[in-house]
Amino acid sequence: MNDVAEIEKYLAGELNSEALQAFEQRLQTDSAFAEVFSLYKSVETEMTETEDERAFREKLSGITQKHFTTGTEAKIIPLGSKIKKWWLYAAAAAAIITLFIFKPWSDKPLTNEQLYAQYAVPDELPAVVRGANEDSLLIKTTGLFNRRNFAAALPLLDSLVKLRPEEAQLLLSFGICQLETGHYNDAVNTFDRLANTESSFKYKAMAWKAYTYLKQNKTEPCIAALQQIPANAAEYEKAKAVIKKLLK
Amino acid sequence: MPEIHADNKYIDALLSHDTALLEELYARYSGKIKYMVIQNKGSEADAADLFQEAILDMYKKAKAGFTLTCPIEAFLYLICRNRWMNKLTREKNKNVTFADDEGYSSELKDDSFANAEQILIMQNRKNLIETKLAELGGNCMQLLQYNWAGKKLEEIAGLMKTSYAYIRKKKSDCMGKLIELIKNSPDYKLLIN
Repeated sequence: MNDVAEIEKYLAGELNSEALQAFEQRLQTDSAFAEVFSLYKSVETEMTETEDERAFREKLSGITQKHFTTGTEAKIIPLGSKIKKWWLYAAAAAAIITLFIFKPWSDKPLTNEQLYAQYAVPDELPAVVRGANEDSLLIKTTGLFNRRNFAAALPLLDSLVKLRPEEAQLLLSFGICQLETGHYNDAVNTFDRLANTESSFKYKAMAWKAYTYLKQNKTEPCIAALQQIPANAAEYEKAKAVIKKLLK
Repeated sequence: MPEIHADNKYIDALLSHDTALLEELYARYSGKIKYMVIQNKGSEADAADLFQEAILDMYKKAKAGFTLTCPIEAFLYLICRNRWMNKLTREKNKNVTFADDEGYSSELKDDSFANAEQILIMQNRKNLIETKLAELGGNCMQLLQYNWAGKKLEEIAGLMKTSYAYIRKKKSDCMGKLIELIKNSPDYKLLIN
């Protein structure tokens, strides 16, 4: 779009005096062009985060983590016992909330949508500082993913999985973002890719593939995918429970 | 002009990034917001996100000039409630009704409602852009997000393994497409100043 290129040159002060005059004249006389100019400026103003805003957001993220159990922004946690404890507390809190929201003691069958909400709950991504250049990208991605801003996290995870192809959890999260943004076929491909590795996340990938079908209300393929999960996998009991509820 | 409330110290704290007062703000008021969200179809993670974004909204408003004429608790509750209702409405949870306003409305002056309304408009503007950006998707979305996050075009060219000249042209194209998508939305006038 030439109009936008022209607007960018104008805002960057790159137009010569003749072009500048023509540009300003056009703003006065061409209302459609003036509207594009106004939209351009609004989008840039709304979306551009200043250095100061970035610093403030980072500071707030740290404070948010202290005051909310399931903290939302990038978590920079050293590997080791702390991380395990944190996962335990988060899992316990999630289990209690799940109990009260979904009332498993109730006999009423759940809809596929309700089942999806109950079971397709992504694990949060822990950000671990490794001193690599892509850390800021990882921190930003972790924050977005953990805040369930999947649309924004998707392109960043796309870059990250290329940078760190060996990181199974990133690949799993990438698939979850594809699923949550409606790119179902891509999501299934990503989960299949992970399921074909020997990673500890392979069975999670198989479960997420099933949830992708669940989200699309495709009950049979969902059950078939869940049945692929072997009895020795950590995901097995959960898979069994979902199948049971789907058959209710 | 209504009088400035003593809690305006928190607004100053936002502008100066004052850690101690920010901690106090969280310690005193985040619990109420957590409760409100969990009572209304949300999780603690939603509440954490909501509270943080509400503070960021106040911060942006403060940068544009804003003084508090009511207790911060009442104002925070109002903007969090607006933001949460907005989110639920967008997610088509229209049957949500909030029990009451926790008795805060008597503490809020007209200018507080006007300020909260402006914050809501700010959110709606951003929501519209983000929705259209997600529709745009792909490399365009990535490029624009990198750029808005403060990365220079030269840097983005490196990250996306292409030339500066290509990225510069691509950025104009992507902005053009995004603006076109926004223009085709019934709400686009929100973004016309």
